[in-house]
Amino acid sequence: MAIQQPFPRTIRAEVKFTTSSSISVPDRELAPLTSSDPNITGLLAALFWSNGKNMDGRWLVVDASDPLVLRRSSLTPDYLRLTTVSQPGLAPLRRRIDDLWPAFLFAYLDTAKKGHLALSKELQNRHADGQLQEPLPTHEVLAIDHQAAMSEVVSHCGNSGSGRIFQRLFAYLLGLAGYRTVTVNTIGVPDVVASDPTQENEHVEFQLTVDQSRRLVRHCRAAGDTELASRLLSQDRRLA
Amino acid sequence: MKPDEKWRLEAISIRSFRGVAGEQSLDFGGRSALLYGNNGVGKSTIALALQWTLFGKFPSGVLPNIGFKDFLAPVGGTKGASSGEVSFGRAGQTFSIRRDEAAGTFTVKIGSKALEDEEAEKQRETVLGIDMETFVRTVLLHQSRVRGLMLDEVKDRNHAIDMLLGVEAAQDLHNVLKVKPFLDAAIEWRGSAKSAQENHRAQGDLLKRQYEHAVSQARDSGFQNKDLNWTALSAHYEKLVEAVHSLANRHEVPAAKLSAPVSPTEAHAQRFTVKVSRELNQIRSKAQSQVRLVQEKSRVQRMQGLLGEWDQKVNDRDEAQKLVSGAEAGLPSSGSPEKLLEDATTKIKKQEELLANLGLTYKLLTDARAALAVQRDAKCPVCGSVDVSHLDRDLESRIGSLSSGELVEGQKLLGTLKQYGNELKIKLDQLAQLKQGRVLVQNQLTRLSEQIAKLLEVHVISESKVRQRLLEGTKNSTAVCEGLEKSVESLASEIEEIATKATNLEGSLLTVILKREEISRHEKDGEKILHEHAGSEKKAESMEGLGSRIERIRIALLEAKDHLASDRLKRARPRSLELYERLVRHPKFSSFDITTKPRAKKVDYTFEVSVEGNPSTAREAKLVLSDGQITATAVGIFVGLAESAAHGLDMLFIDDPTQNLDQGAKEAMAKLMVEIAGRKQIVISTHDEEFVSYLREYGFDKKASVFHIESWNGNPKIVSGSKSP
Repeated sequence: MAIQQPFPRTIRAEVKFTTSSSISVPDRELAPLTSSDPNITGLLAALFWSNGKNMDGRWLVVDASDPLVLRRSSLTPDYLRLTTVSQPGLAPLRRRIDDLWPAFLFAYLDTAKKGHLALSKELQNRHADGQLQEPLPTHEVLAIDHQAAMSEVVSHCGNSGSGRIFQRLFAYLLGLAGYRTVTVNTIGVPDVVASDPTQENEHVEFQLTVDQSRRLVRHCRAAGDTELASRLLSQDRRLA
Repeated sequence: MKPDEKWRLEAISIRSFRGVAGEQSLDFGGRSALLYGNNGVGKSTIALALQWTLFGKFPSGVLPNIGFKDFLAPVGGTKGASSGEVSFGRAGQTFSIRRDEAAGTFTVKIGSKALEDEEAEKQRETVLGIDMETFVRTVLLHQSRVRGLMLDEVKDRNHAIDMLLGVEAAQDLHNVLKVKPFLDAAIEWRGSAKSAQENHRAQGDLLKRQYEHAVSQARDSGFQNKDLNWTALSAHYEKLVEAVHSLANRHEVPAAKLSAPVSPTEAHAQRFTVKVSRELNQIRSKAQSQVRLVQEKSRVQRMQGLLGEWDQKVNDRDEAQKLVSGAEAGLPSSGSPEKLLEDATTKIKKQEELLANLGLTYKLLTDARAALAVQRDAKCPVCGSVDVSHLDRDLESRIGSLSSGELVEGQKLLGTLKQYGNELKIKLDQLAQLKQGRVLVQNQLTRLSEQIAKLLEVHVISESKVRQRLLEGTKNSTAVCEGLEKSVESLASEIEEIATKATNLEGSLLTVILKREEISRHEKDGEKILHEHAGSEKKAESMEGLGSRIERIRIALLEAKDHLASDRLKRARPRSLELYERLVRHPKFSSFDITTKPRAKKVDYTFEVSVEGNPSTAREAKLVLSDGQITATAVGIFVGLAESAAHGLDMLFIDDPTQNLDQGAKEAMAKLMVEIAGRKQIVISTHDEEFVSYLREYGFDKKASVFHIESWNGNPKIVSGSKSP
């Protein structure tokens, strides 16, 4: 068992969504993300939805203070993915985001389609009540589901509207990942500030055999903890 | 380091090198110097020889497409082994450096200590504190580096500034380092899985299309996104089971044990659908509303039948009554029919008796007449009289009267009486029959009334109420039927709904779920493919990791270049600005600046002039300054850079500083050179006589050695100045 690095204490994030093949992040947007305070991490979170490429629909989260990001006027998905390779410190947060994102989008898709105001309200209220996870599906969200959900948001809200929607979803995805305080700046920068991560959400890694894992799933179900059972199931497809 | 602690060039000796076919030595004695002569007399050879002897190489760009040895070879003689020897001096110390191409040796000597090769290299750097890059940047100004600033292409001008600032190596290294080969390598490593992944992707596309079709059908059946999973389908099945049980309960049909499928398989779903269908049929047929409807309809039919029968019977009975009444009306009105018949019978009997008496009388009379005829003479048997004539008359009269009147009339009357009697009897018989018929009908009516009473569940019904009761009963039952029919219709509707739902669950939603299962397996297969090619994937990731590191190095190089260039420009700026004003003397743009402009893959420069440093007046230097002015600016920058650099040499070597300069600029340049020569060793190489005149005018030759190279015949022909022995 190994306790992974905790999430950054405070995140300042610039959130970008695009249907084109690259994003541009001006210095004026990146500058407010950086800080000399080691507890503050500036992130660039990019979501691409273009031509069904590999990284489409996945959040690409990179340290915005990295020269690899700062020096580029245009960032492609491949480049950002390459950047993540050399930023292992953010890997636990990335994994958590990757794990939660498809189910999170699936859960809030209908609200998202009502517009960002309705979505903001619901996310804000649920986050305040600690109920962000409640609408999360207990069934497996397939890649095809996620693609459909992404497509639906984009076609329903348009490119610009989708940007606002995904910005809010990312903000509260951090909330779901364990950040107790989440602020979305509609106009200013940074787009999102998340702080005060719960200790409970620090990842703990176990090494279990498939058989042991299956038994654990059964025990969870028997105890009525379907959420944890689903979570365990989603960790490895062999358990399904 | 104080000036007297720095080294100055004492002498240089060259052999078989570029413009020197034989051997040439120049003795500077640590003083400034002027090398002047026409083009092509070997002035630049001296600068190159100094550089080669010190470092054994040249900066990039000096040897474009030329082999090193070819470059070193004498221009005007046969190829020979090049060699050079340079000596520096300071405060009585001498530091000698010798490079011999033929022997492949590099030697330094300081005092009595001589070192070779690597040790010599180290010693050179330790003593002089300078490497080739710094030497080129801060000691040796070649015209080629100035010329670059006048080029039209921005890229070329930037490169020239790079060279001027000595940062071209960072850019060159950046250009050499490529991320793409690593990414290509990653792609190649992943190529092992490519075929399998392409097949997998094609299957995935097909599955996706099938899934989308299934989803479309499911949506047509009213299912939503949230329904398209096994959990939701399972919940739908549970609801369906509940609906069936609820329906059975509401319709009072004992519910069979029905349970939802436990896993999303076609077989389970089909079995479930069959069970639901069977159960629904049971409910349909055994539902109380249905049973009661059948009963109630039967009751209505029965009542309607009875009503018809009742009406018929009543009619029959009334008809019978009419017949009886008619028959009764046909009878004499006096007395009862029985009495009439009795009277008639009595009359007939009396008449028959009367007739019989009359017959006897007649017979008696006829017998009397016959007897009278036989015993005419005899006395009257009655009266005893002998004369009976009167008897004859009387007899005859009486017989005649009887036979022609009384008897006939009597018989007629009897006939009449008998006829009347018979008719009366017939009528009475008929009446009796009619009455009997009427009784029969009445009895039937009574029995029918009893049946109806029983049907209507009453004890007894008066005849007059039967019809009304039947009508009311029928009406009530019909109303009940209508209610039941609605209930049955509702039941049928619910059954239809549940059956449709079951069909849809199996036909639409299950299809989606099964397709999802298939896609899920397919996605897992995709991971298996990756797993099977994990080794290649790891290699690919490793390549990407290297690529990322290379990219980081590239960026670091650019940052370093940016910082270095900015720093050097910053340190050189005050002196360069001063020299710009002195050398360029621009009537409008009194200031200039070069600043770095970092880009993604390079560092650009802005080289601008302005009015007293006002940014709003800034213009690109290339568009405003003449070539001469740019040359003068470049020399100023070089001097600024040279004077702000830290190393162990107290000298500058400037090649052709007046190219493109006008007279005034040459004069200013000469003043500057003289000024520099006052505190530093400066070696100037030029072909410009006017410039040489200015140098002399301002006393340069008093501070410096002057070498006039008159001509070249394979070797420079130096006609004045000091030559080493």
